[in-house]
Amino acid sequence: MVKLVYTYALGAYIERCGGSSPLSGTFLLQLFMWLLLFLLLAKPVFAQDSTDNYTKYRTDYLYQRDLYQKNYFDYLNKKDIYTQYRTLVSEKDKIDATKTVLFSRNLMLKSYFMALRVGLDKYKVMNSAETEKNQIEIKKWETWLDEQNLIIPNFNNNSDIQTWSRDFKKFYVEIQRTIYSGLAQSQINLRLQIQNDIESLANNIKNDPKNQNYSNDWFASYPVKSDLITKSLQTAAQVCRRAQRGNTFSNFYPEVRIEINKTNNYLKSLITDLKSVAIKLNN
Amino acid sequence: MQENLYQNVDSLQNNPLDNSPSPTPVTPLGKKIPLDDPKIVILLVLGTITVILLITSLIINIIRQKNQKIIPVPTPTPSEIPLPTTSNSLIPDIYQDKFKKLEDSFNYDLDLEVPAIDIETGL
Repeated sequence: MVKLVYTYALGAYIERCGGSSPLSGTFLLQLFMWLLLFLLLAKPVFAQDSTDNYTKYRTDYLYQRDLYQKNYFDYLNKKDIYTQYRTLVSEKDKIDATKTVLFSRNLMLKSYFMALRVGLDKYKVMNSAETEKNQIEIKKWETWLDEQNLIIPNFNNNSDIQTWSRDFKKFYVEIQRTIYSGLAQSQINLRLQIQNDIESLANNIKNDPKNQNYSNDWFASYPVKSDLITKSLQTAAQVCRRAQRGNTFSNFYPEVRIEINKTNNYLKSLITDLKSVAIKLNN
Repeated sequence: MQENLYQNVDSLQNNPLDNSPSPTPVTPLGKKIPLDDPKIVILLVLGTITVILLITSLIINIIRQKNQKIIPVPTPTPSEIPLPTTSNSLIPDIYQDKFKKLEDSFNYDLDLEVPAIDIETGL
């Protein structure tokens, strides 16, 4: 009679008895050194600044724009074929192409809004309340465009598409107003930043040891020019708040540009005068 | 035979035999100028003004001719030479970069062109 005995194969038992070997001091030291080296050399991950984000979103917008243009030409082509033959197949192709182009158009507009919203962060500190308002409005449109892209794939006929396109046309007036207001706000913020920098530089020159009251005239005339700058920028902001009437967008942006150009002239005049003061420091 | 005396039938009073003094001939030039007529008054006023202006211009002309003899005073020029503010090299070194940054910052507007879309798509 053979008795079955439970045995460990291939020395597994020995391994079990041996247990884990303790880590040597040299190994721990090496591990610690490698960890230290990693911590020293590894680049810490900071939150990306607004400029980097803006560049990223702008690149994304440009890509979406190219995609929209490609889809748009495809849509025009399919539309022509349907107009020519009026077959069921060509109609289906046209509906599909329309859905695609509307979808990509919404994506493009959303990526544009994202780039604009992130771009507004750059000089936001100069006028945070107004900039925040613009950003909230832009964000609202981003969400709206996302929602529309959930609806568009469900369209099955021309009637649905036409109804949606008519509604979009009405909404587009407000979309344009938001876009131009955002652009105007970014320009206003930049001018306020430049004015701030000029004032800071003027104070530096004023406190320069070589300055023998050369900057007195500049500081005397500064309040007048500063008021003019403020007035122009306020007018530009007011123009953006003008309500749109009807289904046609009345473009206020050229008026904003006029005020911005006026501000540029005042700022450049301040810089030129300040340069004259700085040159006197050399004499 | 009865002698017929000569008489100018065209002019009854032109009788060569009549020795009485002849009346003064009536001519248009002989009329008195009516000073009450407003046209005449205006004409006189305008004429007076013209004469006054003429005299004044003559006087002024004479005075100006006299003044030409005076040595003209040169136009005052600024004592300081205007600073060529466009040149950054004249600005102290420590401020040159700051000015350059300020001037460049006008180009930092967002380079985002508004997307051009066809809103008639799908209609």
